[in-house]
Amino acid sequence: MEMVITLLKAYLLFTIGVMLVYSVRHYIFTLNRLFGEQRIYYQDILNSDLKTISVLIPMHNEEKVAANILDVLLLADYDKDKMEIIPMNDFSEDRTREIVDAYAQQYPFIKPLHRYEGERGKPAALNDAIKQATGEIIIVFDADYLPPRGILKNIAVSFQDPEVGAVMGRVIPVNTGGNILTRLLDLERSGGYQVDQQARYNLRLMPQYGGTVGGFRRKVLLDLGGFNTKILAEDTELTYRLSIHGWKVLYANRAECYEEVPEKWTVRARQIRRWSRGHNDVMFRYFFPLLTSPFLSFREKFDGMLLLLVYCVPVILLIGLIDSLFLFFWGDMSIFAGIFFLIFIGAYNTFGNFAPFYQVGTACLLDGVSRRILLLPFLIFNFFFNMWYISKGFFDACIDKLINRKAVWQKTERFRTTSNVEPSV
Amino acid sequence: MILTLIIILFILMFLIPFIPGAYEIRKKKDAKPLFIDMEYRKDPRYFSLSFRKLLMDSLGEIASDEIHEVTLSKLEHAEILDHGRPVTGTELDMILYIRHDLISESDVTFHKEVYVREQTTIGKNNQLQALACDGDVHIQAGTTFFRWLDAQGSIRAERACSLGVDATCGKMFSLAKTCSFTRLYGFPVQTDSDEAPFQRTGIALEENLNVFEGDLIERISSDIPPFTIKNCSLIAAKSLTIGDHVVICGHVKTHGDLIIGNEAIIAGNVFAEGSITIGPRATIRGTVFSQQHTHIGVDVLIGAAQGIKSVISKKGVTLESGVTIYGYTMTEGKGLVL
Repeated sequence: MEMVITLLKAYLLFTIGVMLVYSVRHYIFTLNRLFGEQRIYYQDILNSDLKTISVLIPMHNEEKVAANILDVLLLADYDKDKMEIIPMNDFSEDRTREIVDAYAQQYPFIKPLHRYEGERGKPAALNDAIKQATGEIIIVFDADYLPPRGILKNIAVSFQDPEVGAVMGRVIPVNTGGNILTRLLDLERSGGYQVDQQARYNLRLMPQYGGTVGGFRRKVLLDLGGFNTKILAEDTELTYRLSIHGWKVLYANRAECYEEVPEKWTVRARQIRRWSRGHNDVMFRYFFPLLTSPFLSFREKFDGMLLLLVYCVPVILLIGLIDSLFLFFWGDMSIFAGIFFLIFIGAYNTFGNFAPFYQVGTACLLDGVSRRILLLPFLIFNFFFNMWYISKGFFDACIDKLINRKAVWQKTERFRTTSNVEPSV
Repeated sequence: MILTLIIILFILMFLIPFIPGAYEIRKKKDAKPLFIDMEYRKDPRYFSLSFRKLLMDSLGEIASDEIHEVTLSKLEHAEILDHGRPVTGTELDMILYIRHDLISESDVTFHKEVYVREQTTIGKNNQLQALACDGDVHIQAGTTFFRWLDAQGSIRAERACSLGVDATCGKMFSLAKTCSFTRLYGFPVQTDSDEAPFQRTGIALEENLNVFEGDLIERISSDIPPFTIKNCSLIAAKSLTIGDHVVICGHVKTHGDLIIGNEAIIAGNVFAEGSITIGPRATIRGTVFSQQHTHIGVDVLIGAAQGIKSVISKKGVTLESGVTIYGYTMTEGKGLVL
């Protein structure tokens, strides 16, 4: 029994260590955004020789949104001789094919790809589309997104830098006011992009390519063998594959685009579980290649490692919580004693626990919004919700790894009833 | 009883942090999506084009010389003139719309925007908020613009002019020594030189130098000796010095400072996390981008006549004499002609 208690105590200390590391990480990013030097992005570059682009739009039963995204992309200020749009109709059973074909008849640079055989899922569809594409740069938007007029140039211009392999823009929820879930997801997105991603860009760490509102070099991806169709998080996998081969991933905070976030907790649960499953799969595959890559600096590797483990942390915390409950009811919670430990506990309760909240609050401040900060305490519910479903996703990934099971792609449900966007600020 | 009170107190204490949020959820005072300007696209002449449009929409068809009310960002008064001839020491408090030309004497202060439909000559030591001109603009020494300046034709700025946050034109933009700026746009932007123009020869004259793209990248850790020719792009993990007369048919990226030697030729773009120093008479066909300072030496050529390229430098740009840039120059720091 003594051995078990010692192990439980050791695990609790490990959990505290992990929490500390991530709290410090949150503070570094937040303070960087508030007071640190901000690196400029490439959006100010004017260049008449931008590369040719192929805009890919994965679509599976997207009749609610297909026309919206094509309409807004037609207004893009990119030279039409240098761009093509490839709506990727992947086994749709609704009117998606009909809608896309109607646009293709009218606009020669819209070149649909209809897939009704072969492997299903976004990575497989992307692989087929990339083979059909002729652009030097691939830019991807999910079908529910609403790209502004200037965003294609904003993304494409960064590939003037010969070292850039991929670029990620900023995603902003369009249905913020839907319900409490959409409002909390709006806060999460703000913290994630306005602070987390931008700070990583400022600090020359590893911003993450998110699979949509972003682009990458077509030839580089083909040379690296295309997307791995066995991986659910093909975007995270691309980030790591590019990075360990010496390409940089950039974050473009000004390349903003509206997206639709889930309005039902069940849909969000499936989404976050799928992300966790995919991300942890990438973690299993790329942890050691990341650490041994000759192209990355120590701090890039360290940040990349923390990012890889980010969907592991809720599992560690969940087990840590259970662990602490066991120790409490065993009456053996005492690990350390003394004034310094008391100060540590006090400091962590004051600062550590609130690190993610400071990050989200800072993001709201930078975005110039105020009253939505009042919702910060509600993020505690998201925390426990995410912890549970991320843990389930983690165990899915473990089982996938153990029995060599292949994950099946699941589309996120759409909620849009109108294309109108009423801005707030 | 005490236990019940404690439980009620606990529940109340637990709920207190959520009360403001619950109120916000119910009232939805800040529930709209963050603003994205769906129409936004980068246009270096945006300020003047926007001003021209707003003013002309507001004025409509004007027949008489009189004062009109116009709505820009707020309600303003605009004076309509055939010709503008402000004399020394004049202070003008209204927006001016001038149908023909504007010639100001020295020390005139324009407190509001000016729109001139033909040629403009600004006298010495004038102060202006903003000027839009459909013809050419000649700015005499010591004049200060606080906001922006735009000409459909050319701009010639004499010594010690301060060109505001945005100075743009559709033709040549020539700047004398000690002019300061934040953004410049012209075809080309050119700094004055006391010497005869430098005559490029050989490969530097070729308009379409070949740029080797894709996987033709060399990761370089040592400086490049003079007269080297590289048919690939270069990436340096730290600082890099490119020797005199080197020819690079590709792009260059450094994670430290970059020094480009005299008469070197780079066919592609140049990116540096540190500062960039471009030596005299070098030719760079692509864009120059630095997260620090950029110093551009005597008779350097950036871009080519048929295209638009940029010099973007976060902390400052200094231009020596005889520099030619086809396109755009921008800094968040100070731009200065030496």
